[in-house]
Amino acid sequence: MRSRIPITVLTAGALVLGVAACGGGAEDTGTPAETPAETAAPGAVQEGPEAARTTVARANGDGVAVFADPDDTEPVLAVPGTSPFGFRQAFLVLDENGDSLHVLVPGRPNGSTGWIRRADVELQTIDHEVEVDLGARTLTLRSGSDVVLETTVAIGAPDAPTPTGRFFVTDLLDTGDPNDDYGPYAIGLSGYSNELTEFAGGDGQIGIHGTNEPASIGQAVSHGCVRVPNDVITTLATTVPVGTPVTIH
Amino acid sequence: MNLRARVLGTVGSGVLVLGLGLSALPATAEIDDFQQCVENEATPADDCYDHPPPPPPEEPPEEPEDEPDVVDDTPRRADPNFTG
Repeated sequence: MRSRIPITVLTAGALVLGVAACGGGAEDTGTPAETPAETAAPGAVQEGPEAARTTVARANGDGVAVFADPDDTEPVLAVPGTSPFGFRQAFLVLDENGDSLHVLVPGRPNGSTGWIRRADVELQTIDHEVEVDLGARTLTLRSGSDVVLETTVAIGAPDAPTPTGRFFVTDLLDTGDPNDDYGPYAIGLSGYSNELTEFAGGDGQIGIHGTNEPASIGQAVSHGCVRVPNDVITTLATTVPVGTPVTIH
Repeated sequence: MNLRARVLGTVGSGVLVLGLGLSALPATAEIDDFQQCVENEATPADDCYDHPPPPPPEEPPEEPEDEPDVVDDTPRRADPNFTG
């Protein structure tokens, strides 16, 4: 049998215990790109002073079923939940009907629309919009009613003209090389060339990008993409989120 | 000093040394045992101090926290294949 007396004596020292607490600071992960998009109330393009704000639906799962009519039960199209470059699929919201959203769908033919289920997406609002004027060969970036930048651009050559219509940003790519054919960044759009069904291993998707031929800016020499100076594409790619509307006219 | 006193003195000294030795040696290893008894509000009648402490209760495994649903629109390193 053990003696209890010494244990009692030593207990006084044993009760003097300290608790160490570790403090952890937030890790600095560098400089993330701004995400001007924010969660939005359901609805289409807003009216009034914030008329430039656009509602965008981003896929929240593996895929989004597209219906021809909001009450249909059989989809006419299944769009993957991510773009080929891994961005969460975006749809430009045009209207709503109960639990369904009327959206602009990425892909051919340009300007395709359909209805998707609200449960399949997360809604965001975007303040920015891009306008490309093919006649003036200019690109304008706006935030609300404010002009953020305006620049001269190169557009599609006569045999591969830049398609017109309302599109939106689907991909934001970093080429890793300012001297790349596409410059330092390339922005994929939801539209496709009406002449080319394949190009550089792709399927004719149009985009906005920089260039290693700055002298081409202002001319109609591209295969359908919109070329901008490298400093402009750097600003664009690090400012606009996926889903940003792009109107080409 | 007579023989009786010598014998008792020797035996008493031995008992004292033995007692001190026994009391000092295990005590340092029994702090946790004692603390456990105190935490269990054991009384001497429970004979707690003569038994090893019960194993600590198993803590439920921590469930992974749900990652925030954040849309990452940071430009990604890739070779574009747009129409150029």
